[in-house]
Amino acid sequence: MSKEEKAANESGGLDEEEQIELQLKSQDSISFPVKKDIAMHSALIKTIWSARNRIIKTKQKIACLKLKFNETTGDQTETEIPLPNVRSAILKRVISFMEHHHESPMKEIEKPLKSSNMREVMQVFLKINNNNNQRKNTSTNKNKNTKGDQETLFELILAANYMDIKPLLDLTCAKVASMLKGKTPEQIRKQFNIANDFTPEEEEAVRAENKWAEDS
Amino acid sequence: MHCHVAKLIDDAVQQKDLLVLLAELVELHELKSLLKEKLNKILGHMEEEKIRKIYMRVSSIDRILPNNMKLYIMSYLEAGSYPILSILSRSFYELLISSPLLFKTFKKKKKSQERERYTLELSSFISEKISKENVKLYLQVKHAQEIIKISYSPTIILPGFREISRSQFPWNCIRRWQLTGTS
Repeated sequence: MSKEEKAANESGGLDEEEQIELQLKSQDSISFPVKKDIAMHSALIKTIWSARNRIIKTKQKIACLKLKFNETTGDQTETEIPLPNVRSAILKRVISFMEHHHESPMKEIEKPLKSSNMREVMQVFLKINNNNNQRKNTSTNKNKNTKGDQETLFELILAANYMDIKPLLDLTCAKVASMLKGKTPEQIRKQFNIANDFTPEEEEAVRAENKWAEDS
Repeated sequence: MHCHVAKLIDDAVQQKDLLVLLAELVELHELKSLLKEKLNKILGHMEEEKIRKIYMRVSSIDRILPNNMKLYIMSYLEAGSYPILSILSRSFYELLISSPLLFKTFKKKKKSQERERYTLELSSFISEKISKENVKLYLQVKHAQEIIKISYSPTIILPGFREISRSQFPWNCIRRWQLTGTS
């Protein structure tokens, strides 16, 4: 049993712990109730929670020694986890992913990306995106949505990185990789707003440098 | 003429319908100050959401995502995609030529290769051949922990060496370089 698990068990027992509902507080001060075992898919939340448990435990020990136990028991209800780097719209999607991943854990995505596992990536991605986005996918707003989806995708990558949720990071990064796959440099530049800052001579030199690598 | 241009302005239904007129009628410095004024107004109203949207929409992937994230994305691509990515921009080029992280996937896939170490030897070159453009290089691998020869000709396969395709070769395992070519 790890130190964190031991600390968690000591501060209330496993059954009691599992039933705890954490309040994940977004950048825009909106709280989302999430079951503790689902929230633990985020390594950041896990660290915050176990550190908090250790502090509570220490406080309890001190209080017991001072015979002032009642003064500190209030700390046990502190279930709010502030996530100041994640907007509520993104946090909603992240929670949706964690719930989905908790029910049916995602298989590891193979590297390099194959079209066969990309289908699975797309399905999970669409699921977490659509759960929170009830828009109608009409032809008129399709382009706007595609650009909007890309923004959301980048924010999800940043959130997954910040909250340290590896399966979500894998999923979102694999999705971006699929958007790069098989495209020409011009198509990629257009899609991701990349400015070509090479001079024509530099670009030619880089292309020549790459030529040796081309398969015969 | 004036009426026609005025009508074009009135009839515009989308912002892009006015772009040509904007370019014709407004000087660059006027446009800059107009946009700055608008941006300051948004800041004044604390419309962070609007600024975030603009930032996300107009910024490049370079600016939005940190390098470690870009490298992680690239790790999902085949090695053959890297030359294409390196010509996107200077930052992509620098990222690709300086990071060994891209190859860690090979290590994960084949455990037996993790202990292998290769020495890369560039040899058997003739100066006239090198000076010519479009010289294709061929890999010959003798044995793990031994020597790989890179030559310009596919016909010269030295005894004990075997030919290998560039994409099959675990480039990440190269730990030592030995240049014995002449110029």
